[in-house]
Amino acid sequence: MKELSLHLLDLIENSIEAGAKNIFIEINKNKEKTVLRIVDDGKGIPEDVLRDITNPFTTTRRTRKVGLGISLFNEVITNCGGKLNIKSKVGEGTELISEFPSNHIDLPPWGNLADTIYALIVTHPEINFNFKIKTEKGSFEISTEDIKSKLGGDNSFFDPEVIRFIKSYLNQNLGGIGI
Amino acid sequence: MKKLTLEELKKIKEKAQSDLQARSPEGKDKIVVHMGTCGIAAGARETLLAILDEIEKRNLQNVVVTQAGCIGLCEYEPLISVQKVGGPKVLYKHVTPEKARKIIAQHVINGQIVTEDVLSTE
Ligand code: FES
Repeated sequence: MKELSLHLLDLIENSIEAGAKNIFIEINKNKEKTVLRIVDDGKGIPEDVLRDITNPFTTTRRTRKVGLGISLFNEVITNCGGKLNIKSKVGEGTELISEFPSNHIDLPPWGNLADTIYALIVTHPEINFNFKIKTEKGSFEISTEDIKSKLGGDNSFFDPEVIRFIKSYLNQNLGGIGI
Repeated sequence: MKKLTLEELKKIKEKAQSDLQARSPEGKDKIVVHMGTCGIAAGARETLLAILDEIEKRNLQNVVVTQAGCIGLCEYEPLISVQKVGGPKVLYKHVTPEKARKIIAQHVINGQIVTEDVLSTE
């Protein structure tokens, strides 16, 4: 994958696949390092799976589709001297924390983070997303609960005008913080 | 340009009050984009964005787009399925953004399946 924002999309898809209803995503980037944290309340990853989830030889098997993306991401960031840590409890959820140098030569660019957030939010109205993004240039936060409350608790905000708004909102507000 | 705030979303809602009430996903055409790892690597996000873009530009009120996970058909990714109200569920393979736009125009709007891109029909 050419962009970190695509890896992020993929990692969040794992949470969704695990039945999460609330997903919290935090990106903290400064000149030296970036910390990415994803916390979900999905069904969790059993210990034996967790043990080799970062190993592509066990996770690319057709029988285990979830996890392939984690091993790809792990490979990318360990190549840059970063690390990945996953804590999970069956029945409670999963927390993924990754720390990597912000500007390593082998690190893919973030790419279009706004597109990733937009794609997730508008097609998963049933999930509460909370994104918190912080760089040296500023910070940005968006939660689907806010959007829902502005729409009067409406749960299916799939409407051309609403999606148009969300897209411009993300582009304008995220554009300025330079990630 | 002045930055948009979420408050402005309220105005959109008030303006469109009547059709917001009719926004239940039942009775709408459905498009599902598969977002497995291979799908994403093969460009599924861009495909999804092209679909959303068409909906937004053409102001399609009767379509709902959702995402689904992997269905184990990596070699055909990006995959999308289209089901018009009362019609069959059609799974399309190798859906680039261009193909997605064509599928919207031809299948979703005009009701004609884009046969050359179909993987299966249910
Ligand atoms: S997209 Fe699921 S295994 Fe390839």
